[in-house]
Amino acid sequence: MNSSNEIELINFIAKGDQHSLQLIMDRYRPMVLRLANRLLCDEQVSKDIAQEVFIRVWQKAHRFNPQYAPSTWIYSITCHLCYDQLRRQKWLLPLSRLGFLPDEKSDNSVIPLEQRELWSLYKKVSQSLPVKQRMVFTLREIEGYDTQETARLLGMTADQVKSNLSQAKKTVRAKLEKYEIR
Amino acid sequence: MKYDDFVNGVSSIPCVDSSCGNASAVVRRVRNRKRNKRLMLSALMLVCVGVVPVLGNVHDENRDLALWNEARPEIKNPSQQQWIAYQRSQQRKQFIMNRFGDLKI
Repeated sequence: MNSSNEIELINFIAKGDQHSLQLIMDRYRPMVLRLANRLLCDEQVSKDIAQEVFIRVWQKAHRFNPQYAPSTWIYSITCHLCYDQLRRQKWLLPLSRLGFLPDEKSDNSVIPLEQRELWSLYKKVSQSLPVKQRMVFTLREIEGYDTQETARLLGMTADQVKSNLSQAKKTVRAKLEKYEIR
Repeated sequence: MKYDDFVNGVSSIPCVDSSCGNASAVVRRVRNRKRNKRLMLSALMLVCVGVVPVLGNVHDENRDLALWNEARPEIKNPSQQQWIAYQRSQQRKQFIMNRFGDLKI
């Protein structure tokens, strides 16, 4: 499926075609889930965010600008929803800490056993970063977007991306120095 | 641990769920949200319709008639026009009292 086909699909979604939404979901849901999971480090919340992303796609398809690729639009929605979620989470106490839910270690059942230690280290390191740095670090270093793409996705300038990334790298390096993985 | 090893290692973690979402679930959720919004608005309107008359002055015909008899005892059965003119003058008086009642000249 190329970009112009996807634009067609989004036009159909704007007219209320459910089948086109299903095709877009089949294509983008794994990527949206992966991105949300890397940004939020929480499988359940990522699933909720992924559904919210497609709700936005369904509701705002008429506002899609065909000048940009559909993928950019969908990832941008994902990033903004994750950003809002992270800002909200700052003020929320996880239910696991209150004893209502099992420990967070049982999360992310899709991650292979041998990589879970690395994932939990990433989670710790990522959660220690301020929200903007966390977003920039994940998009640039883990997802592999370039500076311009990251800036576009987050609605920042390229300079802001660079400065946030350099701060984030400094913090991550300092954290990793103390850590020895088996 | 080295920074590059860490970044490469994390990038290779396949944190993707194989299950694919359902478009009809999304559409259903949107419809439910719209319905909930409509219900909320209706509930809000019902509350307003119930509360506003309680907060405002409820029309009391006996009280109005008593006030009329006190103000214009010479006219026993006021016409509609006289009645309206009286009500307006009362409203003006009330407005001036509310606005300038505490003004001492």
